[in-house]
Amino acid sequence: MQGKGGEAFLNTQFKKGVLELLVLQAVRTRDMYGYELVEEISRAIDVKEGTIYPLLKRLTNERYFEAYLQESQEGPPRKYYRLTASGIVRSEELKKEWLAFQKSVGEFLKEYDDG
Amino acid sequence: MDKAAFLVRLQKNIGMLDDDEQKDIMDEYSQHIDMKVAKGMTEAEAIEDFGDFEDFVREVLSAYHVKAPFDQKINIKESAEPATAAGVVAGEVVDGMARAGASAATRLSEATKEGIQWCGEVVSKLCAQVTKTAERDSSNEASASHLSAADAVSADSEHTTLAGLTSCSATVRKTRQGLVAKLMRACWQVIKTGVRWMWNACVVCLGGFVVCGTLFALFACGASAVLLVQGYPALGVTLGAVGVSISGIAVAFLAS
Repeated sequence: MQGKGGEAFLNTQFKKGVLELLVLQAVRTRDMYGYELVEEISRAIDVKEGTIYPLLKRLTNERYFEAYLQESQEGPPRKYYRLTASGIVRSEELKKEWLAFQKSVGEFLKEYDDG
Repeated sequence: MDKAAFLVRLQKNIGMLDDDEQKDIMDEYSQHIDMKVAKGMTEAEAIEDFGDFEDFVREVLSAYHVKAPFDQKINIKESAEPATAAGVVAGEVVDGMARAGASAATRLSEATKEGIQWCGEVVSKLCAQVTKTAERDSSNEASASHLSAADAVSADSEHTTLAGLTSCSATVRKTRQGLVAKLMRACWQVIKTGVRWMWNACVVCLGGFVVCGTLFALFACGASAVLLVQGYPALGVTLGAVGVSISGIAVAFLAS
């Protein structure tokens, strides 16, 4: 039986699994900067700022994102992230996988709940 | 903690990264703090919102596959894991060396067999030659005795018989000299081949020793880097991997 620590660990694993999908989907709608992304994703899941930065870095290194600086009226220039063509493909793939996975798990749980 | 103190502390913990990367991270989180402050938080609250500082640094550094400085101290004490990894790699290298050694031994044994076979063939040829010569000798002697009998029957043929005997004896002498020369040539061939095989064996052994020694040294450097510079495991692992790769190529080459 898992305690609170185990639940937190599982929750973290779930988050790690879907975070990439959420970030890709969010940036697909419009170019965003780091903090803006944290705020957007935080609406769906509780995410730490330290978690988003490495993900953005990796997605940029893997050419799913392009980063560019844009002047801001509120202070120093902001680093915006834009989805590339391969990023769009990746986001579609992840979305399909997630929906299929969610459907399978949902059906399984429903079947056993009914039983 | 205020923003300036937080950024100084952050920079101390990411100091192993390139200046550009450090600046990138500092700018990013400085901006996060500014935005939170703009929304009504104090700097301290904004920083608290990042969560545990060490976890935060760990997360940020994970993008660069680098361990946080405070984790390195722990790992120096608990060096069992890298040591185990080094042991596994060392085991693989030793296995590779053993395979190479076995392959070399097999080759040497095959070469020895071939050499022995060749020597056997040479010896059998020599024996055949000796047998032929002996047969020719006995035939000559028979011919000589036949001539002697004829001599007793006819005194006129005495001179012819003596000439025949002289001729036979010269033939036998020539045959024996030829046989000695052939025997010596064969011995020389055997010695030459033996020396060549010994030279080849020495070259193989020496080459194998030098290659294995060099590769082991390279591997040891990699493993040492892993154990000693634990903040940069990628460096040690890379060096180790290079050593193991070259070792693999060398082993494959020796085995082929």
